[in-house]
Amino acid sequence: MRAFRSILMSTVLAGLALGSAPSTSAAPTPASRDFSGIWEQDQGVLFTDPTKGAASGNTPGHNDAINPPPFTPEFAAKYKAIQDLAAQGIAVNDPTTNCSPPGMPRLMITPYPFEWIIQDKQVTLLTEYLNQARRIYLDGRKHPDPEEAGLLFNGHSTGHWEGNTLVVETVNIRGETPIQSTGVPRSDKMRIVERIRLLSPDKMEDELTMYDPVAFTAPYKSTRTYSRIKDYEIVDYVCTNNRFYIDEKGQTQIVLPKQED
Amino acid sequence: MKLNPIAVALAAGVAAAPGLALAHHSFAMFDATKELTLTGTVKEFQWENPHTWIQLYVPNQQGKQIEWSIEGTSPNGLARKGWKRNSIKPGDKIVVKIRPLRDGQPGGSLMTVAGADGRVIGEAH
Repeated sequence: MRAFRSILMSTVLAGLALGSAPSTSAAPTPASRDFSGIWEQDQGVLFTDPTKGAASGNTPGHNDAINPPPFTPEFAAKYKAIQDLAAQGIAVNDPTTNCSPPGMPRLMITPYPFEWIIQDKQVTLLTEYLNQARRIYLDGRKHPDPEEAGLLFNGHSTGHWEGNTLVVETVNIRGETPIQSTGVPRSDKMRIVERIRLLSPDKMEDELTMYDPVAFTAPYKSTRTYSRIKDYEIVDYVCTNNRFYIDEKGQTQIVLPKQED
Repeated sequence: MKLNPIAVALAAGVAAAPGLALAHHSFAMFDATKELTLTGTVKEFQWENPHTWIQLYVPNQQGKQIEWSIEGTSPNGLARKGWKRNSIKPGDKIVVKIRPLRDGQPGGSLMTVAGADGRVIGEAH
């Protein structure tokens, strides 16, 4: 497929050289900016929580953010309370259990694939997770006033190209979803800067830097990589297939099928 | 819940708890320090997001078939490990290793699946 695309692109370029390209066609995306296709992440969580009960799928040796975020005292206390419960087998602080979207930045560390659509004025990630979309505007627009526009789970993302690196800034993010599945808290004042580039045709890197003036005392950075999956098509995601729910205490519970008599 | 599923299965000892399967929710409810081996018959393999589930009949000490619910990673996560939707089918006799639920209900987080002959069918992580 990729070889075919290269041939196609060569043909288009040859056509351009001969001045015979159709006038309606946009300039082709350079291969070094061609994020289009389906990708899944290579790493697990941002970091492995120290509590064994909260261990959640870290792939050893891949994460550069091995420590929790540099929490302010208030958020360090919140995080400790969550970890103390996890040590007892109790999961709290995760609205995604009740089918809220993961939001940013957690969307970028979920195990589910994304399909990237690259256009001149917008990059769109179609996510398998909840079958949603993340939109990154490249048309020069400003972030809206959050008082007027409100906050969104994925926030508001604008981007521009620096060479072959897509630089994205995201603000106006809702604060209730933790930044990973182990309940790690943050505020709704988080700003995220991502530098996204291809390391090779089938390997993408996203360097995320999270600034949270309420929850963190310093920027928190994680460099993720993603692999292109060529033989895959995005499938359904029905959140209510989930067997977990949040009880009146805010704790995650599991419901198993009833035993047959 | 009068069942004592732990008693019906062979506990394979306490492992060093390497990373659990890549997942989108907390693993607090699973016991990452325990590994349980179940031998049973597949009722259903649900190859669906957000997580795959194996429904497995395992006889208890009285011979009653108890239905265990075993959660795997997402379909794409298992596919990356070589799994397919039809890697296991209803009626298959399999041996499954899990991290059990801490509360004693018959369920857990999938580690590996082997055939009755010991051949590994798939690993979850």
